[in-house]
Amino acid sequence: MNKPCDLSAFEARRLIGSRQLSPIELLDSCIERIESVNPSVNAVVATCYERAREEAQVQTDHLMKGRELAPLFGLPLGVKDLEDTEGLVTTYGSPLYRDHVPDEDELLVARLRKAGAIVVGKTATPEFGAGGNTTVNPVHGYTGNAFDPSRACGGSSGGSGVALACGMLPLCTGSDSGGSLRKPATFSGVSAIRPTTGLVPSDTRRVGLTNFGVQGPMARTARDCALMLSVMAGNHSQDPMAFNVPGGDYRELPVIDLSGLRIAVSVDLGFAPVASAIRATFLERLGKFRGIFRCCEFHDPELDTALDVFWILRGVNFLIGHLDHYRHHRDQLGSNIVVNVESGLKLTAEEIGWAHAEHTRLYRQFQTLFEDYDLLITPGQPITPTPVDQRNVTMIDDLPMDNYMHASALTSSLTLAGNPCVAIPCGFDHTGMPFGLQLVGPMHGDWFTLGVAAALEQLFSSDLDLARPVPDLSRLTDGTHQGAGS
Amino acid sequence: MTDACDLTALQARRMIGDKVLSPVELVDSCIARIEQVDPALNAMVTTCYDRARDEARTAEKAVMQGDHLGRLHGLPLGVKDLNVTEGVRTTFGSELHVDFVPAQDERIIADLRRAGAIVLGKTNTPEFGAGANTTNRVYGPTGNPFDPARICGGSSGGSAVALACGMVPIATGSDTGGSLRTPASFCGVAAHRGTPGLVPSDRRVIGLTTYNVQGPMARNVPDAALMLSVMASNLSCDPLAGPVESGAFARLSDVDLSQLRVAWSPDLGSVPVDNTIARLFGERVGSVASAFRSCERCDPDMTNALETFWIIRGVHFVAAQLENYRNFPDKLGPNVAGNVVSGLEMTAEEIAWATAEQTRLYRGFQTFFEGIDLLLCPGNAVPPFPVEQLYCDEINGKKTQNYVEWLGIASAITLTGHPVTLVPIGLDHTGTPMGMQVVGPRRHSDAFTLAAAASIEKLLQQGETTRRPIPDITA
Repeated sequence: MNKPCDLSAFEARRLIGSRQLSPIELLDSCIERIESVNPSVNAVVATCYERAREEAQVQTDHLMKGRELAPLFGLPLGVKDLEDTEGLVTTYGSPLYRDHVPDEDELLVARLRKAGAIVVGKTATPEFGAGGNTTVNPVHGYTGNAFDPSRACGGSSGGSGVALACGMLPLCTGSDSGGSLRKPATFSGVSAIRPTTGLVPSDTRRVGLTNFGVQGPMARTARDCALMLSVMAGNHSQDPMAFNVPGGDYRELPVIDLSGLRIAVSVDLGFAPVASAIRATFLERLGKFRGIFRCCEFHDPELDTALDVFWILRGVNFLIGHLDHYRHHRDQLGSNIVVNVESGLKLTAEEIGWAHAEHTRLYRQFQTLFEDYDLLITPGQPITPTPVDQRNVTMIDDLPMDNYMHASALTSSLTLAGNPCVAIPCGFDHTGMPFGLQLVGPMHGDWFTLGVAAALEQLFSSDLDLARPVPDLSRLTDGTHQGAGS
Repeated sequence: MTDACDLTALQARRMIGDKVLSPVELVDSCIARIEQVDPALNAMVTTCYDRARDEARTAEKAVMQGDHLGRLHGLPLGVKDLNVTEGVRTTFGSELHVDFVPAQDERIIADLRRAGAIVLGKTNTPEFGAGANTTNRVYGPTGNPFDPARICGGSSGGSAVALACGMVPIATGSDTGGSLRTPASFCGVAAHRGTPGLVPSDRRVIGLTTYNVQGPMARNVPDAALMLSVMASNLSCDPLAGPVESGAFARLSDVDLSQLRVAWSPDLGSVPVDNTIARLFGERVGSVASAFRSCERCDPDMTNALETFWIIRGVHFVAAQLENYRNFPDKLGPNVAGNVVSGLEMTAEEIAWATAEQTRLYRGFQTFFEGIDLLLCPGNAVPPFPVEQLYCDEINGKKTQNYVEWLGIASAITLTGHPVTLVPIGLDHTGTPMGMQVVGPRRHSDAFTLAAAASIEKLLQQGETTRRPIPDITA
């Protein structure tokens, strides 16, 4: 575990800056790891090694000339396959785009590359990112969990989560409508932030004024997420939710004194389905560290209509994104897309009007939590990872799920709020899979929330029960799990 | 015209700070003007003179004691009757709320008062702000100060009339499809529709929208900007609020117009505008064109804007008014009831189309601004029409499809959410004022847009045909 590919992005960048590590060495180490581990998990689904090596070589030469280096200089990057990458196949997990090679990087990718990151490949996602229980699509097949490839890695940024956990890459992109950054981060024992809506602008999102479809960074530590976020954040005229981000260098996180914080804790936000074993793990873990805070109280926000609001607004978004696909290529669409388009078509103006107004009511209500507390902590996920071939969660304990997004209530309801949510690892769950926490901060409190995450991470690192879980790569390289992608 | 009530807000505020004008004097002067002029116009529909005089006395004392004075210290304020005001009747122009006296101010009113503004009364608005003829079943119509038989525009009509007549130096307004800009155009005053979220609302029914923005109205742009400096902030009650440096509005920077590349469009390429208004607008812009680095006619692509606006508006009416429509159908006027009905008829597919189309229009408009610093277009599409008419149903011989289509010149910009400052641009061919929208190049460019508009306003003041018209209040 002391290969360059296992370094944090922050540490790798420091070693590059001090010329103890060259971009080409780091890249080769990552490629080697991908080649040895990826066949067992199928996280990286397209690669551009040749271009990456050329870029790394140019950077290595540049480094020797002592010029100023960009923030992500020399850091290998995985890009979720929902995001357009110039010259690199981008399928969105759909057979309709099996051979789609974009002419241009989308804004997010362009910003990261401009800041020195080297795109190494694309990471797997479910078809059009729909459905985050397991990362599977008709083009690439299944992505296995790094801790047990027969189990799901979550999604829809599942390939990114697994690639990070295995040390294939130090930084990966993700995006999140109902929990698609947070779920795979939790299931793979890595970190992610769903930023305040608009902080990371998009030039491709079809619906401009929405909290759905937010892009964010994924990495092995909170500090690495902050490093990556500092490059992704910033006003851009093509996103109507973007805003002027105050100047300053966000690469350094604020140092947070945990003993000064007032923490609200909620096991299930008062309404979300959460498995009893996960509840028990959460409470047991909380008991180990809650004493560090100034106060730590159980408090459920009022989000009880969130599932209906989310499902209705999601239906409208699916009509926008997929009605044409549904009408012209229905035979090539998976069931989640079809179901979601069909339920969208049935919506009435009354339901949509209600959902928009109720959304705003929930938003305002949720913000009042921060009058009394600095941060909300919940479990990262409501269940332990299912078998890899289980497309959707249909039951949690004895409770049947209404639709394929029902099980995501713990994360999707906070999408509606639009507040920054950070996923951090916190030991293993009762089945030996990674367990994690969701930290929810005040609007525009992205760096504060990441600062808390970094402080907790440090606290957790000295306790085996709380520390970030690391997969046993020897189990992934011995051939036992060949063929996760089939 | 040398009364205290005719001073600009910045002049009055400076004189108050210098102890040469007392807030009591200023309030009394405004009240006298209201008493003199308003019976003929019906702009100020509820007053709270006693409280205002008390507050003015307290404000005077603070001046004499050398206390720290807020940015609006001692300035009389007109509040649109859609704004909730503590202790002052708030009807929303609806018979359903004739006796509603709120227990507290909504957020922007509280902040304006905290900054020293003194509420004199409520200004008239159409029922729930629907439509741009300021008339309702509670108070009746508000007349245009240049011709009381014709409309003053709306929905912030009472505020615009009060400003034009010197009843107050600053007033609140709000704008979905032009409700700040249309009355400001028809009354010859200034207004600013900010980037959505710049003025956070704790009441807007739908949060993630470019519709329904609150903003300042005044007799000139620097006054509106001063007021905006108090209204703008980053508050979590509004999901579109973001980091803001509100102090920038209190003192606008100088903009060198000779460095600006300006586009002008008489009709945004596709929205209905009366031929004569379009021609006059082109002439007026032509008369100042040489002040800019460049000033060329160039139309953005706003195809589908009218339809997109109408569909999303339907969703908003369903969200906000369906309950009233179901429970009190006989208490609602035709604009509100009709808009709920058309909203209910919209399909999910149409709503989805409009939602995506709005974002497409936004991005297209943004691309239009590459190489352009400002867009100038008319503030109103037609001259004011008789107060008996609810809306304009025909432009250039062509029937309009619904009661807001004649406002397309304003509502198209609502869809993109770009900041717009409205400045007067002389009288039209019928003797009533017309306005110009100064549209900023991107969202959150409010400070630049206001500063540029202030410079343009100064330039327009130098022209015989383009300067701000002032009503003859002795008539």
